[in-house]
Amino acid sequence: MSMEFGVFTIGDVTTDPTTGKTPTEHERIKATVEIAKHAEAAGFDVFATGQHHNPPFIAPANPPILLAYLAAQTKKIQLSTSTTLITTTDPVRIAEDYAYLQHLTDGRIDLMMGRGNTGPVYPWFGKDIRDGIALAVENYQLLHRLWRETDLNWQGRFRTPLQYFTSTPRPLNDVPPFVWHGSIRSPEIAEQAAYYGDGFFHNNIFWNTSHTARMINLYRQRYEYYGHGKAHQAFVGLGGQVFIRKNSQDAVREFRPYFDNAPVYGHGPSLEEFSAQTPLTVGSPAQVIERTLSFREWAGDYQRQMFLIDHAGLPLKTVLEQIEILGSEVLPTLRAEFAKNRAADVPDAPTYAWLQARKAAGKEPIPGGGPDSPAGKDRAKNAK
Amino acid sequence: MKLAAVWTGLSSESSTTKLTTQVIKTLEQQLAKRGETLEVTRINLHEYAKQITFTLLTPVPDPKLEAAFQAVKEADTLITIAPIYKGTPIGIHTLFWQLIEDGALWRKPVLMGATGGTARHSLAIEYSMRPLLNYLKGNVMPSNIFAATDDWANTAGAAQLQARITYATNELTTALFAQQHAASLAELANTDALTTLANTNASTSQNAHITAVSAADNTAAPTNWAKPENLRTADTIELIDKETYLQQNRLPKRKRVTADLFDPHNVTPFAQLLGNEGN
Repeated sequence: MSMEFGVFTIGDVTTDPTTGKTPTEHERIKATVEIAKHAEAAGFDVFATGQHHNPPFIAPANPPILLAYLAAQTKKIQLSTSTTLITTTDPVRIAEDYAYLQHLTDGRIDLMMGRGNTGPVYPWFGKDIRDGIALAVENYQLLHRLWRETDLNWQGRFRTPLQYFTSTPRPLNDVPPFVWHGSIRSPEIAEQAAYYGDGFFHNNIFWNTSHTARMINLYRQRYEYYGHGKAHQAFVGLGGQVFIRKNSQDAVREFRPYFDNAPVYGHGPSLEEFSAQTPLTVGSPAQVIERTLSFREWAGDYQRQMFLIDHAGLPLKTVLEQIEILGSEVLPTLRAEFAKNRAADVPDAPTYAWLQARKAAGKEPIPGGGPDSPAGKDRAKNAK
Repeated sequence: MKLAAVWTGLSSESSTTKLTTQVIKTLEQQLAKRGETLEVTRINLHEYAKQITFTLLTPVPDPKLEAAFQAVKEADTLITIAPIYKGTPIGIHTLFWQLIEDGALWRKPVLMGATGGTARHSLAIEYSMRPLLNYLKGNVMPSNIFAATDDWANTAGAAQLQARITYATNELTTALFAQQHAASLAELANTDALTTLANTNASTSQNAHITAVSAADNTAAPTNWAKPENLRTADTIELIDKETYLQQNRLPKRKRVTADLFDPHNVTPFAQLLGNEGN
């Protein structure tokens, strides 16, 4: 398979506006497990969970806890995050926990770095939100090294120093999991993803298409600058938001009360206005297919398309229905259509096997580019 | 020269709109006298009220409002006029300035104005608008224009209002030209042009007065500044006609650069973010 399709959740606990009922934390946690299993059964390739530390969320404070449980309950769906908080979580703990998860799942995981959009979280973990970017940069640099070096001596601004430290367990077969960097509006993160040759993910849902396109273009061009490949070969992932019924008017009618009252976008622009400006698509399977296929026009050939489904207080029954509809009436067409006219030299979504083969071939990306890359040549030029 | 006019005219008969129109017209005339044209972007926040409110309620930026912010950032100078309600500028007007990015008015000469029932509320400009525009790093003029209902009602009031408008806009154009000129001098100082000029015949150059100064600079010790021989006198100035003078003293067209953060060429190289030189 060339492209991956997945379901992601941010683990919000939201009142159903049509009934006034709010799920309990227990119900929502169990529902998340159901959703993940259902996604696998429906033919999705990936399931990703967010990370949260406060109500009204039940996304795990440490995603590997949930993902390990899901790994035992599933057989082949890839498990990932949306996102792992690289700012307020200790990189040592990230290195340890996700490597452990890698062993438990035989490599069936990857993760996405995010800075988190909940301001108050930072001081709870001794951090300052104004250091957000600097934290993301330093912490990931450390994480990158923890997975690749033993007896590490390290010093930085945001964490106590490490001396002769080896994080345990080592990544499975010394092949660290694939990392995506997620950002809505910070060019520094697109640059970071390009620097390391990692993937870039844009959730695509709370932003204008034209801005998203520019972020992705920035990442692609810098990816080529750092010599990891051509711009069109970079690793791009996108989010999407849909609500589907056979008949598009039914979809709009059913979803409107959820939209109008949703904590994130309720009481603002109308559903129609929002759908025009963002990728939100509420309608028939054909409409969702058409809209999703259109992303390629500005994002290029990409590797991963994730859908947000369990949001705005939709009851579990509806979410499971949506997953089924997507799986049976949308995904097969998307797979076939995306495969058409996909450039032959664009890599597939990275699997663990692919990462292993890449390492064996000695083709792992060099952070910052090797001496033959445009970046390397610029460095040599500036050194003179 | 680019002017951005940001005002809030809530009704079709809005006196704030009338005042804004009058100020723009006066500015156009003043710039024309100095041989400059004014390119005006008109932003009536009445037409952006919905977008401004939505920006508070959803994380998605509104393209129409973004375009307005961009026009403000690209302007050389700014006027902003609000109606005063209950002793303070109408909320939607303040909200616009609260939502634009920090420092958006950096180095821009700004002229404030307001309208209200009586002159009682004229200080609302000073304690409400000025701090906000200063926060945005605007170069806010000491004078501003307040128009009360009376000022529109009779010819005496109207004449006085026009006098205030002329005074305040004069302040703005002077600041604008002084700043542009200082900028072009700074640019000049950064190049070898200054030294080159110093070595050529000064009287035919555009910046003859700079040349006179720099000639003293390059050839003699600072104490020569005091000597009258080095100072230009009326005899040494070549008399030219007004047309040529305006021609020679036209301000150089400065390329307006607003950084596009998503342009790969403007991105901060990652090595810099890491804080070390290369990996």
